[in-house]
Amino acid sequence: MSIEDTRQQLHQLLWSALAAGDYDVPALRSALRDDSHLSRDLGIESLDIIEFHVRIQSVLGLVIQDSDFEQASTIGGILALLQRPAHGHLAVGES
Amino acid sequence: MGFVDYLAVPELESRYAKLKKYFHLKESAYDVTSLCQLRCEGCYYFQGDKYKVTDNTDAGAWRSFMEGEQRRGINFVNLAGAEPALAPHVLEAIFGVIPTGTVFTNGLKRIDRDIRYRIHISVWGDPGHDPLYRRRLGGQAGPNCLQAQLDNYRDDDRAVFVYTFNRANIAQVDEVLNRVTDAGHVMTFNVFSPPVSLNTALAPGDELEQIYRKMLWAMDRYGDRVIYSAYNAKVHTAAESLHAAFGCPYPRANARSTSPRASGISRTFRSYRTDFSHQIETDCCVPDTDCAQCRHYAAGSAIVSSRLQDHVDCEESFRGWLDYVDTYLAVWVLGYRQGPRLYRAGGGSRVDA
Repeated sequence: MSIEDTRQQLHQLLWSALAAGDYDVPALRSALRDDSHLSRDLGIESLDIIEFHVRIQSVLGLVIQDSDFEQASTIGGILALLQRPAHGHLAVGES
Repeated sequence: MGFVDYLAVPELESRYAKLKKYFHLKESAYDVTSLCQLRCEGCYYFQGDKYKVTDNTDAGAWRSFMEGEQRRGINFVNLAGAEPALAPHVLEAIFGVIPTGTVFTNGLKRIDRDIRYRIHISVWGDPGHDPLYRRRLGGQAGPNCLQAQLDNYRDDDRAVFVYTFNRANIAQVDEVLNRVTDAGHVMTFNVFSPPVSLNTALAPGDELEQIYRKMLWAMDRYGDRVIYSAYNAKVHTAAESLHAAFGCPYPRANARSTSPRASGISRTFRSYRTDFSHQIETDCCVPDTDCAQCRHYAAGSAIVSSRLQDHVDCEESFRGWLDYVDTYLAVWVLGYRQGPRLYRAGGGSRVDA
């Protein structure tokens, strides 16, 4: 899976996590950048970020420590996290 | 199976969607006054130094202060100290700014019906023993609180009676439950959690198992008059404290932990004294409580609710979390109704129900 594919997958998981919440998702879609801080820049509530975290783990079948996820805090940060050898998510077919 | 698979189960998806509407709640705690008619064994308020300040009694100052809290993003208030009902003008000022929250009271004085907060009325035992656990300021036995509470809050939908189990009052809950439910009220449970410096015989040890079974019995016998779940019973009577089991996210515990687990509440929760000051060392819903023995219902509401990621290892665990958060909202948010219990007692539990 390429980095772009993973980025798109992360975006989908994020929108799923926010779907039932009180968010202006179209506005968030426009505002989202790789370096947008999920809470400070996008205003996403902490429990929704936790849901995003567990959705990633559930769909990608891996474990990301709370502290690592907390530190990542952006889509770019999470992408970087997924490229770590411990996760190996992008090891095959990475572009 | 994982989180996404659990949400494919209709009853779990529907409960999760119901809870998610409240993910935006951001709470802090405010001690309203240091006036109190009682001195209760284990009361966290009159421990440490936090009550040794001068009460701000100016309604305008409280209004301005709460407007600042609102700008900070706080939309749910926990009003404590001792005794908030004795500062009605302060409650009115706070309610005018942030109208969602909970007041913790001994119930001896009725809070005006226009203050539409959830009201937690503390019960420490049956009428024969409650006065021994809760004494008057001069040290004499306390009043018959339960009768006064029932009189003051008759037909009042804000009231939740909170029965604090200690090692000696387990059987006393039978009479209290009868009287509270006969009066049309609901009850939830707390487990005595001693302050750090208090030498007390009330903290449960081996009795935790007995308390667990009594909680399950009460839910079975009184149905929806008891706002609780089997998973609440399990985690609040476990041998491990809440902090040991889940890692407390309150600023106080996080600041002292060698392996802190932050969550949203770690950044926003403050526990203000009556003069509007706060310190990270006491920013916790039950300051001065011994974290190693903390099984407090208020603490658990934040600790367990913020640990979704610890409850997705199996479906039963997720069911437990859903019940826990559902219970939390029903106890704390006026108008929220608890749904059918989803977690089966004994499922993944240390004991069979």
